[in-house]
Amino acid sequence: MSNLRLQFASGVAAPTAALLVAVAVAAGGGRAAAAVVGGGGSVKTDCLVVFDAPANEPARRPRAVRCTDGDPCDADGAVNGRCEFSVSVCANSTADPRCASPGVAAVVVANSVDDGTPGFDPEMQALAARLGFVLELPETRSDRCGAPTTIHVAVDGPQSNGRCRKGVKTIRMTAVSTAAGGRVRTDVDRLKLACLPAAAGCGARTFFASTFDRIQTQIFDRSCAVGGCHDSQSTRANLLLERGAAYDNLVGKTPTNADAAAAGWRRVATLDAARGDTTTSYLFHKVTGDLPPGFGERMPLRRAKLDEALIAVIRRWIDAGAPVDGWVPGTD
Amino acid sequence: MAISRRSFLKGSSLAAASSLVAPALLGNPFVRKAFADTIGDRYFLSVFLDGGNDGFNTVLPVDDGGATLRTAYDAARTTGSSGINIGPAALAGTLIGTDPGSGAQLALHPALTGFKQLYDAGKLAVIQGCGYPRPNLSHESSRLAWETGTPPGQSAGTGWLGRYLAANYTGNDIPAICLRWGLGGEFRQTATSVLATGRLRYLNFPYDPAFWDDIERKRQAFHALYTGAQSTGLPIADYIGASGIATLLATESYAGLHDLYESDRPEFNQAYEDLDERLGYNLREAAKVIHGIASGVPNVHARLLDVATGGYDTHSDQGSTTPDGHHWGLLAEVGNSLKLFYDDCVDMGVGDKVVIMVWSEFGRRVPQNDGGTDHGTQYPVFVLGGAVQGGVYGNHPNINESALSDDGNTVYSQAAADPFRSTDMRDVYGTILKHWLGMAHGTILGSVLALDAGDPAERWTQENFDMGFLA
Repeated sequence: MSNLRLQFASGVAAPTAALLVAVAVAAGGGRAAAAVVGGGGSVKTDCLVVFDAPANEPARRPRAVRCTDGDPCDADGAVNGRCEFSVSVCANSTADPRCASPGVAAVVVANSVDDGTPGFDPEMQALAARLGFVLELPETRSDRCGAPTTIHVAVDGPQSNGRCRKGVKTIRMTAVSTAAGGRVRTDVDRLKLACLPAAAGCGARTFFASTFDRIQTQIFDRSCAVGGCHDSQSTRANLLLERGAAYDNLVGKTPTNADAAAAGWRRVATLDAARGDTTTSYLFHKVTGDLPPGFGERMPLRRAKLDEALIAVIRRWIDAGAPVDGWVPGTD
Repeated sequence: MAISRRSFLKGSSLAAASSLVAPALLGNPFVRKAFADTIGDRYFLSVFLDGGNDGFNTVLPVDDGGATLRTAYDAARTTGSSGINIGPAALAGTLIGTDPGSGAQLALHPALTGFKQLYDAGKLAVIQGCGYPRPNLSHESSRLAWETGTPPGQSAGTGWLGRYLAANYTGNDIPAICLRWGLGGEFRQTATSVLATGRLRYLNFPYDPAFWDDIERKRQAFHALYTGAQSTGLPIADYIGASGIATLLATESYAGLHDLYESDRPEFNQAYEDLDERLGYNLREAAKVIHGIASGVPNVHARLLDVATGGYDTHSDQGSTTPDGHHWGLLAEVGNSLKLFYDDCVDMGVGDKVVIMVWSEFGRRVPQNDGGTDHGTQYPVFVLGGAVQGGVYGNHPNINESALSDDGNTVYSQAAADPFRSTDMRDVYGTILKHWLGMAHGTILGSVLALDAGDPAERWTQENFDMGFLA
């Protein structure tokens, strides 16, 4: 027995605390310009885990990858309001000769555990799982790389002023070494991925397929169907707002809030196929915060109010009968 | 004694993590209770797929049969760049039987070639539509339901196999071992000891790692300490003494199984290396225990085994349709690893003595999101082994959009005339308990699995412990 084992056991004995991941040989193929990114920290320990990420322009800032929507660096190749990056994680990298990894005992990717925490990101989970797929902890083999994961970063917008801003997603991970080198070392890494709006590419009809798709993508996906809230893990107020489920859970459905239900409200109240009623639509009141006592709290809970333009999209959509397809005038 | 308090505490936390030891434990640790005649010379292995396996892309309808299953599948899951729809042509090599409810031709995911071989050999039971009433979409809650064998909110906290252990074993033995870094919840109970370690070779008693020359004297001292603690009559001292003895014995007997297996079974040892899959490595630990029991290693008797593997929470970038995809890789891992483990068992002469159940905490939603699937309800369980009556059991869930719940999930049903009637997890458990672990029907109902109250169409009010996959 040795310290190494204790270290290993104590690091791995609580797999629910964080997703522990391990290694395989990189699939390699297909990507144009890629770079091994250490991710930060002492150069002597930066090889415990590294990113295999798109090469940045300029190359001197490899940890902050910037890409304009639709440019060659955007793997989906289209001006569609989001950039696609292909990223994988490798353990015990040999890319930098100044760093000799003593082996990896554990790797934690931030926001990768679907446990009801608000930061949970399924793409971080996928990244961690792919690395975990190829690691046998404690991992001492060199250059064990998970298969690439597609990371989507959405352009932020269109905002109320009609403008779009860059969207950013940051991958954070921490690796803990074995004690083979005499002490346990950690390697804390981050990789920032930014998607910049294309010059003439900021518009609802460019980004979304319909009014409801805009509501789903720009509001629900980003602010509601998140960990601890209206995702399938938590399903607060018995309301699931994930893509594919949200529409049926809203239109014509009775709220779980007893007072709102007693008042005859619906989550989204429609009168007929072309008309709705915002005054008795709980969703509308929840996002505006215009709620009688007992009707609960404004959403998103304890976070900034939705952009006025987005609230207006919801209002117009409900007024038009909450159509599942097509564009309601004034929402594009 | 050259042992620092700090290193002992560090070591003790390892021991605590590695073993669950119960209050009423161990009379004389060296005199084992005669082995219970329930499991006899058999083994049972639970394989947990952590995260919620996408059952609808694991066992698929190839055609509509008498219903519209394939049509509904194609409507819910798209082809194309981020699509997860697997077409009939890709399923031609992994066809299995037909769906009992609809008559639709079924197939395994194309990555499950290992399972296909076992199915063709009659050693794999595919049990469709497994779940429990009022399904919960939380990983924690749903896993707890499956582990405890009780619907959410009704759990007494013990595992379904834990209650089986409590009914058959006292503290004199370690009847079960979890080959993972923590206790499998299905074994949770307080009547006997269950061991847990991800890798047997890391199992060790927390002596002072800095001084090895006086290990034997330390061992004697700890043994005397624990034995003495058990004769004080104080419950807490009894607990400490019993857990200490159990840990001491386990570390001395189980840790050596690693070297024993490597030296006795080099070909299979290498085969797991060549496979290079997490689940394969985990199953190799189970094979080491089986080999240890078969070799008569003292104090090694754990015939109930547990392994787990993860990565199934495929919300995003699921990758079902090509061999470099994530879910494809997961299923290839499962099929190939378990095929190898089964072959290993056959080679050890226990192929028809080992039954394996593969389960997850839930399935995935029928409609896909962008490129993945969200939390779901019923899914197929696999039971495999030489003694298993292979075939398709239970009905495919009704995935037609009109039949789904508001959140896009299939609905649990126990209605007798329903061609899509679900398989309650407790019927699977009960069949295993009755036909493999030797528990009497009435005892199962009385002390392990309790029937639900309520509407017989929507609750588990009538058991079926004779599903047929075990004779």
